[in-house]
Amino acid sequence: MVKGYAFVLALGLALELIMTILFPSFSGFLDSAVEFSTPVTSWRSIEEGIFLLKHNIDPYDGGVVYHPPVLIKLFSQVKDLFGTNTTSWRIASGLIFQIADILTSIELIQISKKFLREYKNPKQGTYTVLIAIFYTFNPIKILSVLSNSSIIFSNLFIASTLYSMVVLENVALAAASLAMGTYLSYNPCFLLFPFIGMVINLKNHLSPCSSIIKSISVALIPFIATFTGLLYCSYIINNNNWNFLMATYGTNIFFTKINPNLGLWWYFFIEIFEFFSKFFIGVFNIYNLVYILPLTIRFQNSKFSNLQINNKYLIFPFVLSYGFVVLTKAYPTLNDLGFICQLLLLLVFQNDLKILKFLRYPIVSILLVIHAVILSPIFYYLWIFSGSGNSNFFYAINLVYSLGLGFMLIDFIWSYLSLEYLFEKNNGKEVDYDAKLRLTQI
Amino acid sequence: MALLEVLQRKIHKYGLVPKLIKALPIISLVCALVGTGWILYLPIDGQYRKTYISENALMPSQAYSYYRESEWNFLRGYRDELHNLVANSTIERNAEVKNYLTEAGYTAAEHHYTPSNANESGSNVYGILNAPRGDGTEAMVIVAPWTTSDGTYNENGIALAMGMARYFARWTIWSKNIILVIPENNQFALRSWVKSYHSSLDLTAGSIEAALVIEYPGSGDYYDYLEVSYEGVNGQLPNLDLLNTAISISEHEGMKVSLQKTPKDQIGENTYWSRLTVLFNGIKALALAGLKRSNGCEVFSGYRIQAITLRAVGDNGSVDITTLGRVIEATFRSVNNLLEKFHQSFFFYLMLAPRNFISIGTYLPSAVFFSVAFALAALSEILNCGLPLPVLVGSGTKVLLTFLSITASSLLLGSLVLFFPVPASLIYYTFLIFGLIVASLPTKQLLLAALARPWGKSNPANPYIQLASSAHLLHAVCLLYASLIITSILVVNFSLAYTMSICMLPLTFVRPITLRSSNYQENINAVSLLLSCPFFIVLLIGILDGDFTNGPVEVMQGLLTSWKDFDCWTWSIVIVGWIPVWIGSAVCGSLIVDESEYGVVDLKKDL
Repeated sequence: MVKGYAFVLALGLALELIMTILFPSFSGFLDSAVEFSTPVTSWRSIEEGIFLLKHNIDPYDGGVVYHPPVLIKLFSQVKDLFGTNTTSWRIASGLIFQIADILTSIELIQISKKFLREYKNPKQGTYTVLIAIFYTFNPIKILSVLSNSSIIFSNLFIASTLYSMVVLENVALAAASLAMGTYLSYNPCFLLFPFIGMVINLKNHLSPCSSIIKSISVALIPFIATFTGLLYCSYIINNNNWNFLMATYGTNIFFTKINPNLGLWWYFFIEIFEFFSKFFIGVFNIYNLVYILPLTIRFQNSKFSNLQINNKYLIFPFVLSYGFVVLTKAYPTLNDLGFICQLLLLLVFQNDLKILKFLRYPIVSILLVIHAVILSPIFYYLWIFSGSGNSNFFYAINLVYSLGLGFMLIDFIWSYLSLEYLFEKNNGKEVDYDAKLRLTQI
Repeated sequence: MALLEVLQRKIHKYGLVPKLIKALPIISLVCALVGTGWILYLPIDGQYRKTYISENALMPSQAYSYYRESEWNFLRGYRDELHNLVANSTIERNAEVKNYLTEAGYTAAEHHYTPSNANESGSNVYGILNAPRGDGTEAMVIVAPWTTSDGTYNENGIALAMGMARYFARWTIWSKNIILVIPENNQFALRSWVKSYHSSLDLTAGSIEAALVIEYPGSGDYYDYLEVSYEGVNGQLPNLDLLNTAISISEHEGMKVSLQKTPKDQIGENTYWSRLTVLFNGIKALALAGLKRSNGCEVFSGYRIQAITLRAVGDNGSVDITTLGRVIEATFRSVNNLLEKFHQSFFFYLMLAPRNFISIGTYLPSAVFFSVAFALAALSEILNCGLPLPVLVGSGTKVLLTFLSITASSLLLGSLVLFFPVPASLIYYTFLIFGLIVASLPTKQLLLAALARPWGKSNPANPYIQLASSAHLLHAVCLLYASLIITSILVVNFSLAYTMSICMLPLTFVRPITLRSSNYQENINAVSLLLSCPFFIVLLIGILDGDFTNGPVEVMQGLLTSWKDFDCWTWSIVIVGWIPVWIGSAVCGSLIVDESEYGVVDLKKDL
């Protein structure tokens, strides 16, 4: 069945490639859609950066480019290969994003496969194919890949972090991946906390008496080395100028580019609230971080099964933390939603699908998210194009979207806690997962 | 949170969840009834609001209107000249009018267009008066079509518009350009002018803020009352401020204003029934906008132009023609005062009387209730069908693929039909007969033969379980999809969402038949399917609505051509949102009989 899932992925890639070739304007259309593109992730901004770089103009001077220099430099190198042939460059650039996405899927599928193998699940092959279908043919995923959003690379490195930790068990590589993800889009830096937790836990399992300080340094040193290395490279590429820091990370932190998007931030920065904008910047940045530490600490030593696999890899706080990062970040897109769904599926397979049994309101959260995804372009249309709606319409639907996403995450926490409760109640003996739990509070 | 916990504990204690699940069909029906009843409740005193002018700059009727008897001679002069042009072709008429416009100081030009169903090209004439004050980036439009929506010669209308144009040119107060458009008709011809104005015309005058369409057939000097129309396509309405301004000015001038074609003897009434009538006619007009070619203001939809139609009705009343001139003058002066685009007041409203309205927040819940009703019906279909969840989930992929292909083929066929060179009547009757056959009983076996086989295969031991689960799940998916469609259009086009949900409601009564279901279920299914068949509804509209003189075929014609002519989405919503749900439910309703073919087994016992 390995062939099965590779076949599905190849089919997905072919489909996306065909769409890129047949509909030249489609990716531009998606890139201008507020759901799939933000100033910090948009493809137009990368192309602008390439152009400016080529003409020896400082890309970060004009307030158009918000991508890190290394990414722009790499793309500009690739573009040079194609010369003036714009069609082949368009297809090739699309292909780069598609391959990055496929790699993400492969890494995540490998992790799921490892879990499935560990549980000796009889339907291993079928599940792998189903995961692949879910990853590849998810319409949101297809559209986000076609939109050439640079968040795809960041997602790739987050997936690589998990892959290196779970499949390769290589901490240094994982830390380096996380550093690259952070370098590309700032937000993954919050994952450092659950990541350190993961490393401590893994080291504990590999050699039970390893010291915490040592584990932390094993995680931190490669992270810091890679990150500073990348920053230094950027400094060199950017003609010995640090101004890219403000344009890339500064934009994310201080929300200097105020554009409507799917997130919770933008509405508070419109003109009439300008008086408070410094306060809001503070609040939202704290809000970004506020879920991360409690999640990391709470789930650090949680056990709910005798099986080694559950306790060895602490991906739960990692995935959940990223969920909350996506919920609270300054420039979210639907791409993030697609990636979070992919990550949540990992949790499902880590617990051999048992986590699904204790979800309380999956229908509500799925319906909320679906409605929000469908209504958001409609309300945006009413506001911007037909002029009969206003920004409140669009922000209201952003709130619904966030509510749906929040429900999804909280539901997973509840379900995980229920499993933990069952396990502890039975003192570690085999647990009857079909038992009807009548809990109102854990 | 503590309160929620207490609530949750209570729910667990009394075992409310299973009880609620059992009652889901009833709850769903109640939701639908509340949705319907909500609208009936709104015209009651205390539920609706009085209109008011929200934008202070408008100041309707605050300036003295000078268009009075002194202008009558020019008006009569134009009318006499126009009277001689009745028999002439549009080209000749346009040349003449172009002369008048140039004489009055306008920059005039002609606009040529090609109707979708004809080879010869038509032409419109329009003139622009550049604003003496202001930067000339904004414009107000006055439209007088050669033929009114009833097909009569708009003699007084054009004479008045020309008189106004001449009169306006002598004023120095205009800060917005004035455009006079005389199109061949106020439907496709005007639409193509609006389209060209925003894309290809050489002579333009900035963004259009407001447009008035004037219809005044005949050559009398007096009329009875004024009819105001305001519906746009795709649920768009002009800003309520413009409508209020026009109504308040008209009433200030001492004439009666009729909304939604209220007949003369009922105009002054303001009772529950009169408000309800106007409300329902408004919903109907907005749901059928684009299909019915009658107003002229709907052609401005989609370009952020606030447009209304003023129609002088009757020819032996007490109001003279210059009064209508003063209404136009005062409305233009109000719009002329604006410093910003229309943005205050409401863009989503339903009128109850000229001075009463309900705003979106008040009427929206009714469509939301319908959406919830469909979602609950879907949930009930899953939870109350007696099959365990894993069995249902097992057929998920198949059902989703089936539904997807139904939707895709409906979309494909529906869009192909737009390009078929066949008369609408042929298309309509084909679809209607197809609908009737599917809804009626005998074909069920036929459908089964086609569909049951692939569905039954996957579980040879007891194939009917797969089949039953697929049927239930398909129906659930359909209803959920209906709910989604209704939610997505309810803000954009409430009237269409509301009408469509009422029409689709019978689909929630379609039930797969098991041993437990009653003997009447088959008949209920057939009647439900018939009542919610889109083409049967078209038949009803065609027969019941007097405005469609050609009956259902004209409705169908409107559905098919409004996409190309007016960028109206109604047909696409029908083929994407309504037909797939209907076909899916029909398939589900038909599959039931198959259970008996396998020898009816009580599913509950067997599982």
